[in-house]
Amino acid sequence: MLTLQARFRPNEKEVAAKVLDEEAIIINLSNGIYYSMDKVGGFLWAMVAEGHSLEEILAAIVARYDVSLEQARADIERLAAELLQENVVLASDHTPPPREHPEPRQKVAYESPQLNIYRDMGDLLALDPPMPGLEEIPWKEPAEGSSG
Amino acid sequence: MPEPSAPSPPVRGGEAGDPPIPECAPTVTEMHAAFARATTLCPDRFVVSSYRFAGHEVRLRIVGRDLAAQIGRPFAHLEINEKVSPTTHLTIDLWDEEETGIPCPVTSTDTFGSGWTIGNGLTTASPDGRYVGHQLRQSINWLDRKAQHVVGWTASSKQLSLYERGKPLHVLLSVWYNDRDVQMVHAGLVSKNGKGVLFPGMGGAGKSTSALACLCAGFDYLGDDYVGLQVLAEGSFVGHSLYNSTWLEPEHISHFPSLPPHAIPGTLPREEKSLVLLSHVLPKRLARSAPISVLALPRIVDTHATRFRPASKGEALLALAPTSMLALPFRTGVRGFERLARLVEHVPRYWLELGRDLSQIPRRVDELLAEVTG
Repeated sequence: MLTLQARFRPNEKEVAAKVLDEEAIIINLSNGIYYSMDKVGGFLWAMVAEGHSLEEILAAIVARYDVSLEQARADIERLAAELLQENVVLASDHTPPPREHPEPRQKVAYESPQLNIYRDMGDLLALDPPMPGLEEIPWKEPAEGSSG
Repeated sequence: MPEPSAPSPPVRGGEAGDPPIPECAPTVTEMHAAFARATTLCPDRFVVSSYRFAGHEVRLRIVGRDLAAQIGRPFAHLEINEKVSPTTHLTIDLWDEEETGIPCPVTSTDTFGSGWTIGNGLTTASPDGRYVGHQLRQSINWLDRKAQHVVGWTASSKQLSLYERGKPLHVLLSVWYNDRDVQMVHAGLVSKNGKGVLFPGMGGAGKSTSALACLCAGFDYLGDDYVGLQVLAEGSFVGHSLYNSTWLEPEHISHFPSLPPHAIPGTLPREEKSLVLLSHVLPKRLARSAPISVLALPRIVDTHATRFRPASKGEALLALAPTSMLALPFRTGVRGFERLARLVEHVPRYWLELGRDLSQIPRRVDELLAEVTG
């Protein structure tokens, strides 16, 4: 059962993720399922990726958004459970440094975060399992003019 | 009967001379030996040509004139007529058994005890990742990533599938390109006055329709489903053409009447689309590379008009990343994802909403380019 003291980290062995302008895009490279979350969801993912506990995330959301403590807690616990179930995050015991983000002067309008799940590529991968990425070869010369 | 000594093979624009057979796994050594026998036995069928793939020199040496013609056509726009330099970055040696009488010395690519089904083929790799093999119905090809050398057998050029004729060596080249930091992405690409418009999107989003509409309206064409993406040292992005092939869907036939006369129909059960090699249709509009100036995310809408509107970075990444990372033969992993994220962060992005009047697409794309480049 989830507690507010729980911490998580992205499942980096299988997942690639990025937050762009508060939109989180997450791809599970092993099963092809991908996800998106925007606004509050993107903010929440960024904090999860930093390793903050659900309690710290709750405090940050309540400080930033115009939302009751009860509503925010329910949404955070729901979303955390979903992310765990999807194997996108794993439990963590790493404590990150304190988060230093200025609180906005005026609270931002709140929308319950939703984890959008896309399984279309997952069905494709079930038919054709991925070929493992081939490791960087030790003899590889850096490509000229390229920054990777 | 002793084998005749081989005269120098006919070479277009390059110097004759064989690179030494690299020290490599037994299976691949046998393939190289079989290729060498083919060149010795059939010097009159030995064709050499040179290309530039994403700026890298590539030499194609094929024993089998029909095979050389089939394999060379999708790369025709990348051919160069310069002397082959010592710094060739990839040598591709192929032979046709029907034309040469030399059979394949190995029965499968399952040399290392593991394999993955990709599309209709079986792919395998050596434990150290140096050798990558790909086997289709009637061909077996091996890539030596250290020596930058492909060696392959085809049973007969007449038995090549439409896929092999339109995208030769797709799986192995995706590995080779990635080793050169050129990532295959699932997108179309056109350009005008040296400014590239990338059309990322899932299957059915309208990538091909958008790219072909622009081609027919005078844009330069680089691809309609897969192109190479490279990040340059200064942080800008370049798109590279990989093939000049396109697959014609039924709805394309009426919209692009210049293409169907050049369509090559499929013969196998799964070959529902026809192949068109654009080097036969509009050779002067085929470009090798273009800087990417804008991302135009195609989306089919139920309106008459085509229009564009800004897209978020997240929307662009969602349109580009899943199929580019999951549907392509070679998985680029987190590094590839990071590269795509950088692209959508730094290049302007718009939705291109495709209405029923496809003639409006090139005009909207022109306006889009004017909007972002000033």
